[in-house]
Amino acid sequence: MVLAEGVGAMDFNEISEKYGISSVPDTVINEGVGRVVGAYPEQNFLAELMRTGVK
Amino acid sequence: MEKFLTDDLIAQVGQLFGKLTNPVQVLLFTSKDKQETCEPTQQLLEEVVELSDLLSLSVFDIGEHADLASLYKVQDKAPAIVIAAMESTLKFGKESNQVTDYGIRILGIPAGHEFATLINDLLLVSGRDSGLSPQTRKYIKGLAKPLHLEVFVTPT
Repeated sequence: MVLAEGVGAMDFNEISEKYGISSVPDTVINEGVGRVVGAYPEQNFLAELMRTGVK
Repeated sequence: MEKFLTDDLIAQVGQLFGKLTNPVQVLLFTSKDKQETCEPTQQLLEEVVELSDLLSLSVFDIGEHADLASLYKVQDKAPAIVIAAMESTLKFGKESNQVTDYGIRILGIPAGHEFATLINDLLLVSGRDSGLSPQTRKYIKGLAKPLHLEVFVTPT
């Protein structure tokens, strides 16, 4: 149910450009439904997932 | 060929691998048009899995194994590393191995900081425990649709 990919931004320019990645880490949720720029504790990340309405 | 892993690193990783508990199957998907990143990724993984009997590596060319690449959702994503669990079961007195995919991927060469991510992923999958909080587990269990996370990273 969960697909978690660590994407090497430099190895995958095309995907990085598609999302306009300018700093890392940058997490794209369900092809852009949500976005978490920077590294956050798990709890904050979960809050962002819930905020984006991914259920 | 010159090794990627120095003796120091081998000693450090070897110590961490003392915590490995269950078998892990690493699948590497490569592509002929991405040789400059696929070849070093394969060499690095070969050197890593050599450090523990609980780790094994299978390498597939995306072009030649298109169905498998599609099953693991890694078409057009070479080099793609799938870090999966390997379960051995006895069936009719014969041992059979089953790969369980936890949806964990590393796309691109796991160099620099990403080497630590690779080692951590191997330990997590081997332990069969995500380490996530009860709230996060509850959320994931309740998911009605697939969740796709793409974490963009760089080696530095």
